[in-house]
Amino acid sequence: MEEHVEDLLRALQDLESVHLINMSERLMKWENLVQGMEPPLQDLNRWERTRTRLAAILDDLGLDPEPGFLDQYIKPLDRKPVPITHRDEDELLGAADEVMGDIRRQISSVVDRYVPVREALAEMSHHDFDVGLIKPSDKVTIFLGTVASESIRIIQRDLTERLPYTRLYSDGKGRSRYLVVASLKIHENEVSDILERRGFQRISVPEELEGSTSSVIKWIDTRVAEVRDKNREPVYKLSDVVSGVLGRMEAREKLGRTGNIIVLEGWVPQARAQETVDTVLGTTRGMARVVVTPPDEPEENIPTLLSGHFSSFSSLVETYDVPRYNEVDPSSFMAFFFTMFVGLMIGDIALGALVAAAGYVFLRGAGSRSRGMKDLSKVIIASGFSAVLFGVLTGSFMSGVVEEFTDGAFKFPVLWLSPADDPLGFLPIVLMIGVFHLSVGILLGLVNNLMNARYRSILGDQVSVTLLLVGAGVFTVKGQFALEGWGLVGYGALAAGVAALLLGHGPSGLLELTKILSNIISYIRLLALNMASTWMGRTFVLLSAMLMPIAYVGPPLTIILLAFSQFFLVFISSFSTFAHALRLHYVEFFGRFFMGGGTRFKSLRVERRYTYVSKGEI
Amino acid sequence: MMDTATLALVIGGVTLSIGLAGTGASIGQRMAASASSLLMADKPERFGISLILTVIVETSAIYGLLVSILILVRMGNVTDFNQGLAALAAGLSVGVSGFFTGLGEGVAASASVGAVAEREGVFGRALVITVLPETGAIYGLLLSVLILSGSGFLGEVKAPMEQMGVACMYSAIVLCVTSICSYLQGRVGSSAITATTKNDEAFGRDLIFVVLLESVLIYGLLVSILILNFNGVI
Repeated sequence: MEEHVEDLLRALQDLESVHLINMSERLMKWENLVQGMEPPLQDLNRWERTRTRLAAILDDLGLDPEPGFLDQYIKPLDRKPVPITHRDEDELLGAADEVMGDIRRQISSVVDRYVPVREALAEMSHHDFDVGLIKPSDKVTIFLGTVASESIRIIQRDLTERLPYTRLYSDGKGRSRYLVVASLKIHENEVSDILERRGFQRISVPEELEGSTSSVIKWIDTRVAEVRDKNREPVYKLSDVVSGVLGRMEAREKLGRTGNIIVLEGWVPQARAQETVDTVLGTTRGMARVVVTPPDEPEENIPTLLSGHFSSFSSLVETYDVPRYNEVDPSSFMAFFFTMFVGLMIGDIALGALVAAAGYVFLRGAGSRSRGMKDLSKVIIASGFSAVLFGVLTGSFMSGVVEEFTDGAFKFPVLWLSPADDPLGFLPIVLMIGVFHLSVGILLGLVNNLMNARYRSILGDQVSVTLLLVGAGVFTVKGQFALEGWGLVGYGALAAGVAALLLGHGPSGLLELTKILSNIISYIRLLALNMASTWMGRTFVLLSAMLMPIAYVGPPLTIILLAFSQFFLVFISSFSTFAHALRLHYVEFFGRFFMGGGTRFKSLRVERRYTYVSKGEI
Repeated sequence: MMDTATLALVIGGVTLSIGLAGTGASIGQRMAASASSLLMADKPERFGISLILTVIVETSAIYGLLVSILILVRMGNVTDFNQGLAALAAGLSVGVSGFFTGLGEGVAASASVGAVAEREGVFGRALVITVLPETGAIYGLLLSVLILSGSGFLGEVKAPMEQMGVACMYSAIVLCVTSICSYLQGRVGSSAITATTKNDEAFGRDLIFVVLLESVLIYGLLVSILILNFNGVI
């Protein structure tokens, strides 16, 4: 029933489990029994205006300041969300105009009245004078304001030529400067004319401001802080309430109706279906009919909700494309291989620890501001730990600094293999890692084809490549161990692979032969980037060792260069290794199974920036 | 004590390594830096991300610098003319591949700066495409280190000296010729970045087109390694 819609949509926003379907696009399915809902334009405009006014209030009160470039990454958000109940929401919605009018009055009586003067005084704060002196008196008029820097000289010339008893002082940086002009009262109008002609913007100094510049600035700051603190909570609450209202209005446009009955259709994750049904029936006091059915739509219409366990890596998958509904979610595989690849390419205990530490700083800073950065920070931390692990296995700590400075007396043990010292020993390992990675991709492709009943593709996409890999593997093993009679097996597998390619894809399938070769060789970058990072590090260590013997300045310069080298390597290595690990997934791995073209599951929810729902009081 | 001809080859390797890679990186960086400085007039708040896109182009010059320093630090090990030839080959390998990488990354980076000027959210995708041409410089560095490992700079000389020198030189030439892919990859990458800016969903498919060009480079690396391997250098 119409009267329950608002409450229902609000409950679904809290539940965050429903991806609404736009009914206007599906009216044919309902044979026009259901009509689309008209967008409530008048209300929509009203609340859009309210949002704009709120944004201006937030800005004027400095309640949501834009962080600096570095701060947005490293400084945690100091704004704590305030609790809100649905009762608060109703009250605020009813009195939104009144509340904003009251706050605006306070802003104009404090912020608009004092802040321009405060900014001017702050620019001139190196002269600690009595602010009372720049107010008009019986005989003298003082003008304070801003003017374009290029106009100052012209104003000075005009004043000097025409009004010799006038004094001028300017301060500040940039194109707009603060200007103070003192003149006799009798010349007030002439001075005013000269200034206005040059675009002077006057700032009036309120009567009540008295005392030194520093004390006046402090007094203004206290007053502004009082207004800010007093209004923080209502402004935060109202901002999110309006955001929720606009979200519900947008959602209403997706609903359908027959007379007084409202029809709502949406997707819900199977695990949350019952909870959603209970919420719908509870909110409408049983005045609803809910039907839950398994998906009966073409696959491309069903939204995809990616893995919750590896959600940080799901965002990397979604950067490429959204998998279809009946497609394997590669997030968990990506979590394993991506961290392994980055770890392998950085492969140093100290660098890995620095990467993990950087990830933690980002998690606290940028992660507190955006969900995407939170996910990315977790990926960085996991990759950092993986790099530490590979550093331990390959015996690399700060690119061999300990070995260099102890003349080889102490050396980190190589538990596995050092790629930089034995590149040829490591080369087959990275190629095997590549084959394994591709094989997992082929397996996922098989699962995708089976799930989508595309049996013909299995021959050309999976059977053929598997046979080719088996054939190449047989020849490799035969070459290593001089095995008699294995050649026939190898040739047989290769021939069967080629035949499967031709059967599956026709003559164009032969292109797969070069593709699979270049795919495998592409994994050499794992070795190459590790060597690049290690040798760069070793070169820095060598240079540091050369500085060490210099008298007095040698040791501190060595420490500075070593510290710099580590941060430099983290910066350079991180971008390259992350980009190339992504590439190995997007191109080589996903190329084996990923279909894509799915729709992201977007639940109906409120993007809460400033509040959280106090559930106990709903 | 090495003779003058050998010394000329070794110093030639150092010069080519940093000279060519540095030139490519400088030209590439000029493209990205010009786009970034124009962006500052309208969107100064995007200074950080445009700086990253400009700085990333410099990586190939760093690889060139790295090989130069490795050759200079270990040139005391050189006793034979063919080792000089190997040093020249190592310098050529990282220098030429770095040159083309610098150009390619510069083209892609300037397109990326243009893309983030239009829409900041495209930065991650643009960065991935910008870095793709770097594969050439990475393979160039890999081959240089392999050459230096097999020619007495970073390891022992295993092959006969004459064979080693010729094999190193020709393996470097193969990679140098094929590394032009990096520049072409940058050109395709700039189109892909433009397409991704218009439509996020184009990213995955466009990535494939950019990477297609790389196959030739990979074959070049394979042949280079095989030349070194079949001649007993590594």
